[in-house]
Amino acid sequence: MTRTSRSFRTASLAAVTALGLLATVTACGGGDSSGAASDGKPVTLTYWTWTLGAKSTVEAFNRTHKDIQVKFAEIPSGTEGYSKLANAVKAGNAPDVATIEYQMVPEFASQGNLIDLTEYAGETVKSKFPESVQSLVTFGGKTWTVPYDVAPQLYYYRTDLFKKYGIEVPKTWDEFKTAAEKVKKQDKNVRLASMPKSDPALLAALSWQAGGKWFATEGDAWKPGVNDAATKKVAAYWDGLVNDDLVQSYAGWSPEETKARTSGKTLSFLGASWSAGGMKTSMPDLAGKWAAAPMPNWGTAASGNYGGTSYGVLKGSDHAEAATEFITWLTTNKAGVEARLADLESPSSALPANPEMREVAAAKFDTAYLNGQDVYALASQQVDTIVPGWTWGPNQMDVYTAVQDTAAKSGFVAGVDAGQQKAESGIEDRGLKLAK
Amino acid sequence: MSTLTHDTTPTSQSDTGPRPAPAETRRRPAANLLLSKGIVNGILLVAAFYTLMPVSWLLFAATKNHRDLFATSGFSFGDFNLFANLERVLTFNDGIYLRWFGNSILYSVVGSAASTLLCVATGYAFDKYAFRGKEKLFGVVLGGVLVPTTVIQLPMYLLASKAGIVNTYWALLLPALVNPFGVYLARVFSEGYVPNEVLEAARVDGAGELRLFARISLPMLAPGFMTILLFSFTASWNNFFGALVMLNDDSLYPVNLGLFMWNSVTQQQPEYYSLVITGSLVAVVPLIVAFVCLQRFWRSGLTAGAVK
Amino acid sequence: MALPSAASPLRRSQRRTAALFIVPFFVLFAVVMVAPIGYALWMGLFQERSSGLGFGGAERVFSGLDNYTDALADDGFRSSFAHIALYCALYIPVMIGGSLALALLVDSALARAKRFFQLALFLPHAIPGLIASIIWIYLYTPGLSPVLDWIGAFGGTWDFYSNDHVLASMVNLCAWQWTGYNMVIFYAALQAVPREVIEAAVVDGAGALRTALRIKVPMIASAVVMTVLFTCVGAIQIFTEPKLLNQRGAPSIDTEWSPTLFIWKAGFVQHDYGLAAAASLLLAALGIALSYFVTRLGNRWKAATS
Repeated sequence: MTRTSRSFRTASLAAVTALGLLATVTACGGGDSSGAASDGKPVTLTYWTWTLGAKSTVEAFNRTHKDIQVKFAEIPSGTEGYSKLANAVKAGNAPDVATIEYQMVPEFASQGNLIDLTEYAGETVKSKFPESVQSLVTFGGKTWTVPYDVAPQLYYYRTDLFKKYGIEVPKTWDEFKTAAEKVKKQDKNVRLASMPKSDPALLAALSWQAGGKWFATEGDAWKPGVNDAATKKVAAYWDGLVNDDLVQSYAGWSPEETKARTSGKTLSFLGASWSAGGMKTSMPDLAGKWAAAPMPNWGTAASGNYGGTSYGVLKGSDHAEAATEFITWLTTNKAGVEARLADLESPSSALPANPEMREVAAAKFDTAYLNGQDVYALASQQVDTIVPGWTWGPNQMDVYTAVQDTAAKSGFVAGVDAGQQKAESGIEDRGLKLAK
Repeated sequence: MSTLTHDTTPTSQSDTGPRPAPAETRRRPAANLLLSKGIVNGILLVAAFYTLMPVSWLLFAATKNHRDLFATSGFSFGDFNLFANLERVLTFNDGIYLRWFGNSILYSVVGSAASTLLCVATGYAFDKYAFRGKEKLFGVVLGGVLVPTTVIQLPMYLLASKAGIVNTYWALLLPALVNPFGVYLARVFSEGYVPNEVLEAARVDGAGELRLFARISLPMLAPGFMTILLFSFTASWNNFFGALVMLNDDSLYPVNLGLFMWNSVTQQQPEYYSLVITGSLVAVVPLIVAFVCLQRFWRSGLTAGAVK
Repeated sequence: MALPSAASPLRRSQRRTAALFIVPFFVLFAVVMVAPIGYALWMGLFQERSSGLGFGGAERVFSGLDNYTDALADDGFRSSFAHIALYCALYIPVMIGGSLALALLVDSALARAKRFFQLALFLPHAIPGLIASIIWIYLYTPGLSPVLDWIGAFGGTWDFYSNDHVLASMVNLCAWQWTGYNMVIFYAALQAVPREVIEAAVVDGAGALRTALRIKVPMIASAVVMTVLFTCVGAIQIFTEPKLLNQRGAPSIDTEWSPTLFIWKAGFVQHDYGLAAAASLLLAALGIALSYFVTRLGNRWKAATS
């Protein structure tokens, strides 16, 4: 009996130890809110992002700040990343700071995932950013996030191959179509561009450029227009190009999309100011062969915002003030902007929304890849052509997935119709007011 | 061990010794026989190629740097970067991969060991003891077998978030502990392996019930224990949906969720491809080794499941 | 089983031990399986409501069975079941047919190196589903994939993600993981076929193929049917494979392609917990019904054969 009970005791002891260990590990995994400034220790902020240049930015910040230290984690962009963020808020382990694209600000704010920053950053946003950008982060009279960049659309093309196929840089969408026909005629394996069906943000930007307004507010009611006339025109245009096989439609951000670009099977792409930063990494062998131009338009110079990021403080953070200090440094401090461009592997070419920072970034950005072209000057000019009055919706992610799911199967026109339907039903399902 | 294979795979003896050549072979002309033999083994070879190809590709891919990965063909070598890749995986982000690996072991090994012990104890008690409402309770267990775990994952999440254990180790460990099918198997095994006479004899000698279980029954149940353990080990090692739903903090991820996150990041940062590939290889190799070593338990477990 | 008389101390100690062994399991069972279902039933009765533009917070209101009717009326949820049915229609013949054929081949007297083949064919099952999906998706990716290089070497082209091919790509991905597993089950069942029966057939002059199809397959028919049904139970839970294919941009695998994807989206993209809970319970009911049917059938066969 003694032997038995001893081995039993050993076993149970081991079990208890294991459980205890578990508990301590769990406890350690749980809280980041320790290290308050009151005991003289620096505040530790957590920061989740997917933007380029984040690592060098955080390092620079930590070097120069004794009282605030930032820990950064890379998260996926798009739906995956936002649902991770929203879950983290629900689970109570959200980071203090995260990158929130403009398109997600209303949704995140109305879902209660963001801390109202009016008190900490309202002034900064009002005094340092153009009004067109302020309206993207201010809702219900409150400032929800601090803008970092504006993302006017830009058109990137292969200079060598445009010469080879004898095409001019298209200035309008009509010229774009003609050029696409010309390319296809010369080589059936090559296309002018690729229009991904899996990137509803690009479709939104193109609709924005054409004067579409996916959302608007009327008093205290939402008025979605995901399939308004301008958007329909854009959607039909691209359906036409895809159906006539004048453009490819690789999945956005996929290796085959990149491969088609590197192998010269796609001659140009529809990007934005920030696209230039990633090209160096994804197409290292093509340095000097790309150039940027204004996006083709519908007759008058115009641009949409394709992406564009801001920084928010997530619900549950105990350090809203310190977090705002970090955010302010990121968005309006020279050192912050420079650090972002200092990353050797993947510098950011985002165009700061704050005009003073634009010069800082332009001076720092290595233009060698684009053959010395001043992409910042070009992008800055495009900012002035961004069509005013665009608003993002309170269930933007859901609308995006509806557009994407349907567009993939039945084309862009069907996609925006599905998006409109989802916008309306989503607004009503949540009890929000829908303008009739 | 022989008792196990004997009981669960009724004819597994034939596995160990060649079966006498059936009469059919004798009547056929030799050439025809050779042809059939060639076809049968040829098809099997093709099938084996199909099952082994992806893993071997992984092995090749893990030796390449990012540029070679996309520039060289799948089954050729570029610059040999296996060790550089391994180093990058193991040290990336302060060694987060090792942490994931440790977490996986915690969830799978510790979780399934505890779960199996619980199953075996419960199944054994159902078999060997009489108590009121026994068959009704066992009916509840059988009811639990019917509930597919994936399907109640979201309800589990909702409750766990109410209880505040979302995003902790418990969020994955607690559900892994409950394995109704394991209890059912354990009862069957207990009926088969632990003769009541032995227990009676030990009781006459004055052994307590706990001692009986620990010193006599548990060793007899060892093969069944291994079988249930393997079942619940694979279940938790495969439990991607549960981890995706329950966990948010990188430092709690099991390997598969970590790889999923890295794989999602490849969209914005293509350099992550080699991390995902090498990370997958590191995760898969110990599984393959364990699987080859433990194959007899696999087979007996599967058959037990099939015959049930 | 002979039990000691009720009054004896031995009996009491046995009862205590039984309780000690059984109570922890049932406590956990209640916490992990019963309570979540109950809580989901409760959650399914409420919806979140905000007002105006929605920047003033939300409240939970009682909504009766609205979540259930919403789920049942949702095109996405309904078509997810159609997707699964279509998937099963392709997957089950391929996978079950494949494993049955392989089991018969390995079982045939002509096969060499049986142990090696069993191990090799079973090996994919050792690889977690997520990693298997990642590997195959890379093998579907132009630029990375040797498979596409081989196809290209013969002058062909193939797009694994196109609307016409993506279902086949998914079937391949799942068949790779499960064919060997089911092959082992069938092989074990074949081993249980009495040798006399087979030898009798051979003596009657039946060839190997005929013996396999006419004698062996009918003898293991119950194992085959059970496996088919288990595969169906598995299919309604499919998540990892469509999730990854969707993430990779396969156009026809949408964000609510399978019921579990729909639930995940409702819970984690739309944050509509009521809808997610209701859809989960509906799916659970289907899963339980299906499993119940399988078990019943299995028991009847067991009773019939023993």
